[in-house]
Amino acid sequence: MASPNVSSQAYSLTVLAPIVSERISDLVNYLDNVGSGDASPLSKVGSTHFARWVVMDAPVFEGGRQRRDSWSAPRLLFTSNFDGELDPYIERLRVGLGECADKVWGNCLDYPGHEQPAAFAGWIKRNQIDSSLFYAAYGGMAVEDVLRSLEIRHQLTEFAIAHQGDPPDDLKAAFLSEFQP
Amino acid sequence: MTLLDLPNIQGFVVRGYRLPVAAYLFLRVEDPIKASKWVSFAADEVITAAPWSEKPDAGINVAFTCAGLEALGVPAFSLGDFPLEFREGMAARAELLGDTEKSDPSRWEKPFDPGSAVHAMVMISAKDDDALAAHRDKVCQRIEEYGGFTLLATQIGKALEDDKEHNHEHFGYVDGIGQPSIEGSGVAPLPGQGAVDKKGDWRPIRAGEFILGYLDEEGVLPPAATPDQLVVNGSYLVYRKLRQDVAGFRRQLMKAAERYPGNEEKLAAKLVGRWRDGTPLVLSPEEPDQSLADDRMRNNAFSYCDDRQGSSCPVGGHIRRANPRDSLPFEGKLVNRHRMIRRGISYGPELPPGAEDDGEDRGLIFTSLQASIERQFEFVQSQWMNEGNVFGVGDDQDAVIGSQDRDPPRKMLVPGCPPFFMDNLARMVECAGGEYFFTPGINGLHFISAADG
Repeated sequence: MASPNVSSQAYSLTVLAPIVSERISDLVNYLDNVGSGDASPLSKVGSTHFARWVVMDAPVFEGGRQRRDSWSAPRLLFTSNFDGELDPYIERLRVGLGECADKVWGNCLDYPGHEQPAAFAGWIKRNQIDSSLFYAAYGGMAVEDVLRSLEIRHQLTEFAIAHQGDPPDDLKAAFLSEFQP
Repeated sequence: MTLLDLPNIQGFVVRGYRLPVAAYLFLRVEDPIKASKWVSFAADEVITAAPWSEKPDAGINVAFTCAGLEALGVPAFSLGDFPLEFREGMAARAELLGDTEKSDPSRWEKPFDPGSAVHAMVMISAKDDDALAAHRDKVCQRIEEYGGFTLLATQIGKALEDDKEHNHEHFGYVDGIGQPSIEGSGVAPLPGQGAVDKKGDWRPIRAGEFILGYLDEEGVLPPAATPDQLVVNGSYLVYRKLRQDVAGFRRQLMKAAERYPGNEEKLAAKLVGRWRDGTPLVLSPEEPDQSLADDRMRNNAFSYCDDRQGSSCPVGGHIRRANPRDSLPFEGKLVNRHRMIRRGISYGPELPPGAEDDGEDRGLIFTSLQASIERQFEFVQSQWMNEGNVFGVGDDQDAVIGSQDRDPPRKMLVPGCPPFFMDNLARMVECAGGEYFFTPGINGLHFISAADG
């Protein structure tokens, strides 16, 4: 059976690790200031579409048929969706995050640090859970395809605005000169 | 279908009063015991949603901030259950809301400036200026007699009335046509006012989208703080003073219209999705139609199923962003969870046609009512007004009320043959202050009045 974590070329990684209780406020402080977008350390991890950490105090019971659940300790959720296989991604994560990985997961139970590739990968995988529903909004597009499409869209919009109202012949000439392969 | 407990719900949650003048009094609790006694008095004074035998000349409704509930002695365990955005207040949510630059909370006017802390709001609605003045005197006198409150500031609102019963806002558009109809409210739904229900059908929206203690669109009770005496029949109220740059709006429109293949009025209609008289573009794309605009059975009875590309009403048009109806997939499920009841009223003098900016403060007092500020007001503001991704228009923002705080300035696409880009958009509406309130049911007012005293 196909892995529930895979959609086309994309992989959905979900890691749920218990937090050492006396370190929660350190962790929250660090994550509050970790930055997002280009400033995020996760931007240094290649092929990542979207990733984030979330501190979860307790499972929420929403009623209905949901099972009531409880935890012995709060958990740190890490979700990422990326292109390609899991093993090389964990290595990119380890190298890309570097010491930042330790500042985050170092607050979790039994985390071995990022120095030893095998220990790091083993710990991530031990805390991995299957993604019960993975919807990849970008279809079969890899990160670089998405970025290239956005760039083309941006370029085309700029062009359309700059040449708004031009006579058809001028418009055609300008288009060919700007977008000729 | 559950019927609403109308005598225990504050009236403005369920119906627009169509009272054209209003005063908003902002109060701070100084003495909780005295203030609680006034709340008890107010519980018998507020206009409820029970049907009127006769329309009143004037009346009040009340709402409290989280700090206000705390000051009035609502216990900590209960306050802690209120949603985070309500506890934080509007200023703390500025980045999410696009309240940046001119709208930055550090620039907000009293009583929303960083030093003030609003605890309560009393909204007085009245049929005319005299009725408002008389009732306001009475209300203020009562508050003074009870003691316990300081009056921090007062905001007056006054509808800009046409010769007909419609109101327009300062940019010149008839406003307030689209409102969700509420299940069990006893108010007859008008075509197009409810929830999208399969192709072309409408039904009233479940009351729990707006009022706590009733089933919502998910078929469950909306999450609410405890105890239920405090929250049931209550609703969250968003108050925003939106200052409009009328001269700037007209200038931007006129400049863009020079290059637009249609005329200025048509471009004005494309920005909003309605002609200025209220005619929906989807129903009459080429010209306004007064008889259609005035007909409440028709002026909101449309969907976008035959206008997917937005050639009649642009996908980024204001009313299509605010209520995408059937534009989004999943048969309205994504839209029906993000509706709001709006109770806006203009303030400030009208700027005469063609006049230069006169420096007067004018705009709209925006108020909305909902069961979740985060899921409804904040979502619409951040994802539908200040973003365009879900509509396929990139990060373009609403051309009328969007923050336009991106660099370089963004555009609006008016589909057509050829398409028109209205570019270099600037902010035309700024937030001059605002806050998140909880407007309790009558049962909630009694609970609050008993909390400390």
